[in-house]
Amino acid sequence: MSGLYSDKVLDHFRNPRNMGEMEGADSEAQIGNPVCGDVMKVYLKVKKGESWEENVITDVKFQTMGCVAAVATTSMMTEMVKGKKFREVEKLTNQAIAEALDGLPPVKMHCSNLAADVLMKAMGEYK
Amino acid sequence: MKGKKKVYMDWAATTPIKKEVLSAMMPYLTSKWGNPSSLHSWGWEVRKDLEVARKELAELVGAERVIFTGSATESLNLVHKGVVESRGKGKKKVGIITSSIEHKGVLATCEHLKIRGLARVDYLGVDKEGKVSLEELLRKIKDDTGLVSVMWVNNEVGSVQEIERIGKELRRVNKEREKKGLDRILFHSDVTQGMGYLEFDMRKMGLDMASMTGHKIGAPKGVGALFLGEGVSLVRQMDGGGQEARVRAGTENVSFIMGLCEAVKIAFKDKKKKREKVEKVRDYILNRLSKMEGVVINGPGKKGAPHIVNCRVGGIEGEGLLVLMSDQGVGVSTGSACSSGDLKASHVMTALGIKAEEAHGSIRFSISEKTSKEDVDYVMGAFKKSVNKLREIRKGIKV
Repeated sequence: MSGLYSDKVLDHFRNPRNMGEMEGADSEAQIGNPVCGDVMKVYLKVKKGESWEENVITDVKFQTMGCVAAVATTSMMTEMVKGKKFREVEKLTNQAIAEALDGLPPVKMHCSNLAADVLMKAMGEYK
Repeated sequence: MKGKKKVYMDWAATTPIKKEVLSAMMPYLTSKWGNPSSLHSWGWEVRKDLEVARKELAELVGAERVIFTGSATESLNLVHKGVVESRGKGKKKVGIITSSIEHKGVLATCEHLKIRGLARVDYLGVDKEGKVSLEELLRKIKDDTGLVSVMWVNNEVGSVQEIERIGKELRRVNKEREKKGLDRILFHSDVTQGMGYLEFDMRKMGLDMASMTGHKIGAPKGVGALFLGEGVSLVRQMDGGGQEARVRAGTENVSFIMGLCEAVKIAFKDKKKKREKVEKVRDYILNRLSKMEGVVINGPGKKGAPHIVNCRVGGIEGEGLLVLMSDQGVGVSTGSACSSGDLKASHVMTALGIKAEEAHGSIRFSISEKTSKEDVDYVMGAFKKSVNKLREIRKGIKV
């Protein structure tokens, strides 16, 4: 399977960015299904804005149990949203993250590509 | 990667061509290049060598006839489809009894026959050690049963079925069936993974048919064999010329066939000595794994084949583990759904009663007589390091 992965995917898997737990996170969320094998968790540090859209992600961390694609997509996602306003990232899709990684094998597009979903959940739960 | 240590521990997947095997092949790639079916000296010299090799191989394995094919999968297709077509003649369904842990070459072929209404297929379950029960097999025999197909050594977990015991019982059953005027049940086994280290004699084991491939024992990829006992008739699946006693058409791949014959000969020499050597290394792997936290052995462990060990690591996914181990120069394989292409957990893991979420972290180490304890130490080090890295990435996730 690894022969089918792009260099970027393998790089993010081998050297995950922003990986680990965050103490005192302003919001956190977990999604996935252990039967499928992929479970991901994201932690956000948020600077409160005048409206929800104006909130800024000042720091982001992730933890993932799962395959190469699951780890790489969550890692890539953290790089794409750090320092951005909710308004700027609320339209981020799993597809866009996969594209930023130069694509994923077709079979991995649905099961392991959930990084945008977990981010939206954490943003939605931020009060 | 230059100068970096590399350890291949995926010998059940494939093996390199042995030097002696290549030497046995070379004349048929260079000077003796004739078509064995040709009626002149170029053809005759090749035909003569091919038939001598075939006869020697048949004697070595206790077969009446040997049919050469392109792979174990082809042999499996030929034997299941060929028996069903010969027995059913397209007019009646033929009962097949097989196990739930067969290679896909058997399972997909049986499904093919079932979907087309040519066969009725019963699957035998296995216990936690991956073994079928003889009692269940005997219970499943019906008047229409024409074929029992049970693999010898399972390629994923290494469980070894009691082929000789099944063969003996089937002979008794067949005697009773003869009195009732019922068709004789033919007994087939996929013996691919057993050829390297276990004693094999078709007659002694009571087998009517056995399938194998060359590349697991030092022959090239792309050549297989089907061993046939007395009184077995098959409808051929590859139509064309009259090669292979009209059972498999197509010009013989002579050099590869000579390679397969040589590889079996080498494998059968000092088998017991080689087996004991490999078993010692396997036991060392099992011992090392037993000391690792969160690692559980899948299947028979010490009671299994000498060259296969399968285990699982809780909360870890096998695909990532393989990439990290490969980065350290180690080659192993996994039964994880994430690496299967269809995202389904391995059918063998499922049959063993291992849940999908546990099967994700399954790893197979398969060795050969070339594998040393030092190799094992290196692989276990890489394994531990990789597991720890993945545990670090998943730390904090509770499921």
